[in-house]
Amino acid sequence: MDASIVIALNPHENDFERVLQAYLHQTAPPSSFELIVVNGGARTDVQATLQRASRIMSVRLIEIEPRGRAAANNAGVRAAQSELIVFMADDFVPCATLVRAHIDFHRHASARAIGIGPAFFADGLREDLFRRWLEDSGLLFGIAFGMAGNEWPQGFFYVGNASMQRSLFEELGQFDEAFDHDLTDDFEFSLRLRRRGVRTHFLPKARCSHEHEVTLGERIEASRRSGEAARRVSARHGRIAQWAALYEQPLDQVVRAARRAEEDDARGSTVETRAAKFQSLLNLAFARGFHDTPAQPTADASPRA
Amino acid sequence: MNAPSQGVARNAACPCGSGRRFKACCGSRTGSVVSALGQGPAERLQRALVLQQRGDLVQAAAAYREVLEHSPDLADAVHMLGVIHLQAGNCAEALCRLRQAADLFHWEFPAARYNLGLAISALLSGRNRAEVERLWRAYDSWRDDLRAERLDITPCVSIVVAGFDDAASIDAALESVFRQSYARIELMVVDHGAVEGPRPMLARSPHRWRVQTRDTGGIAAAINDAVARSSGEFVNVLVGNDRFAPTRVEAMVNAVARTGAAWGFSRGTLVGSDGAEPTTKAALPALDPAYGADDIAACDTVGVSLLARNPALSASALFFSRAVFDDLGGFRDDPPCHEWDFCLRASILAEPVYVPSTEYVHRLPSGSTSPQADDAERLASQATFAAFYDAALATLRAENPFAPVPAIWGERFFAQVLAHGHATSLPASVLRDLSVRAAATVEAASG
Repeated sequence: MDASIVIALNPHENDFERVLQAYLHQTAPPSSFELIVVNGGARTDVQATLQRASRIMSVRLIEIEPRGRAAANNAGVRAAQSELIVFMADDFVPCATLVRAHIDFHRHASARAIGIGPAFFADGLREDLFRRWLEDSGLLFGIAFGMAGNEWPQGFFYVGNASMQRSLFEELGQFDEAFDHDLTDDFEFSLRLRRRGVRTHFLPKARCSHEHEVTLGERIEASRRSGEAARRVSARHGRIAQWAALYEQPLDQVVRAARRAEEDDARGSTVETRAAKFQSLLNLAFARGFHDTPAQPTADASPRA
Repeated sequence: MNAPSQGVARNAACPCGSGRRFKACCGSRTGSVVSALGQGPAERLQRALVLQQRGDLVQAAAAYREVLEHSPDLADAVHMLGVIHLQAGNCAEALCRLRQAADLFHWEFPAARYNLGLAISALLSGRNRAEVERLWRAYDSWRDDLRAERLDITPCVSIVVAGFDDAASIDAALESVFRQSYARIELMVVDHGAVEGPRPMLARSPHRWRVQTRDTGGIAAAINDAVARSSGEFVNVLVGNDRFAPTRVEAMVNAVARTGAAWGFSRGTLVGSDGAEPTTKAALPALDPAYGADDIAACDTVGVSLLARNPALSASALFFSRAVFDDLGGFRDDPPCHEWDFCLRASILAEPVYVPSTEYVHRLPSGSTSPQADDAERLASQATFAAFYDAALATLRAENPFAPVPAIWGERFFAQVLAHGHATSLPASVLRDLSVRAAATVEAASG
């Protein structure tokens, strides 16, 4: 077996059967990989689907306590049989060459290289201006995948579509289970891999369709939780340059900026004013999350085995 | 959260994405432009640049717009506003501004062309997706066939040894050939005057050998001459002060000759003239050869990876059939990166095979301890790519079904070429045409 695909379930409403079907139609032979689906109480509608799929492919469901995505992915790695681990989001539908792209990359690259595949909203979902902006601005995953071929930030990592050798994952210390949501655990991991000089590579052939009707309200809540988590990350890693411009501003300044952007958009809405409004609302939610969270380090800031 | 950039040091990479140091790119222009403006506009432009460097893109964009209200044709402000749109992922607006900036600069400012190329690339990269995925699948299938096919052959391999600095280097190189685990080797040594000393060493060669005397002409001509006089079905050149790993020829025969492929190349190690690995890293991580070697397997195909960079530290990386050599007419002295030129042209004929194991050591010339990424090297790369670009465009039917040419990959070819910064190698007319095509994708997307 060449790869173990670890999928941590989130409380998404997408058609998981469609995701599984796409794994059935890979250019990599079915015998070359296994699927490990980890459910921390996130979904109750996938068990029958997985059972059906297990008749034709190697797929296992691991049920764990609801402790967040980091814990689910760590549990998935523990259950994995292969040395190559591919982390995949449960709302990413892989293109036919995805598994092969990860396997082939690691067959040829150094043992400490990490492969990252892109995810794009399906065309229909991109008709919504907010989603289009969210994707193109790079704020959804921390990178605009449409621009990834231009200049790949070699320290970028996200857990939605990424592969590495188990030995590297263990060397880096697994995901930090103190992060109990599906946010920031991968960013914190990226800080550790950068510190160790590990570099990531963009795998265009590991492309996914992101089937998630993301809304502004949902992202505002996610930004608030990111702000909370950022406080924890800062306590552990010190000043985070990516966020400092936001959290070092007084909160009332961020509030004023958001109000101004909303007023500008109300006066005469254009694509630009809408984008500025979206940005300022997400900034505000992040800043609130950060400032509302106590400054002291969390009791458990180290990864669990 | 998106990561705004911090203030830019003069020696750091320019935030405009040109791949150059800030002081050699926007940092060199903005000072002179600022001093040419009046007090008010100069201050506004300076303030905008500071905001941009600080990562406050919204405020920086507003400041550039303010500058443009007073000086609508100020090329630097238009350019940097375009860069901000690019940084923010607003490629449609970036395209519009950067195209305007290129016009205002009369297409003579390389950074503006480079950034326009990035905007075009981002807009074209999602085009003909179904066709691209069909090619990816076909490539996987071709690789499966290669893996399944194992020809029971033991071809004669000609090793052409050329271009050495001194007797000590050629001794070490010959020793690395003598120690090959593969037996059926023919050795051709090009004598530039440094060979006299090693003749006793050649006498203990386990392989058939000949010395080719040559006093004049460039290295490419010398190699071509020696290859033409050799008789092996496959050829591997060993140049400069390089050495082979003991498994070099066996690994290349297994991966290339015995799979029915026509040519390939392997990973190599770079060492200074003192034999130690370079003490200083490349100026930008993207120029690090080890990262580049890993990245080959990340690309659409090995052939497409050649559009990004020269995969060979030297011609010693290459292993090719005599048929490929003859079809290409050998190496060329001009363009300057002759091994990359060879790879690019060969990729139109046949898909290369990449051998990920380290099968040669490339030693930098005497006195060098680290690779140079200077202007001369960049210009050499640009000239090499420009020569290939013409050939790629003229290729309507490639023998390699995955050849990195527009006839096969359509707009993805251009997206890749521009993403890797080759906009400065392309004629302005091509960039104008591509910017029209990219604008059409924006119009189509907005219905």
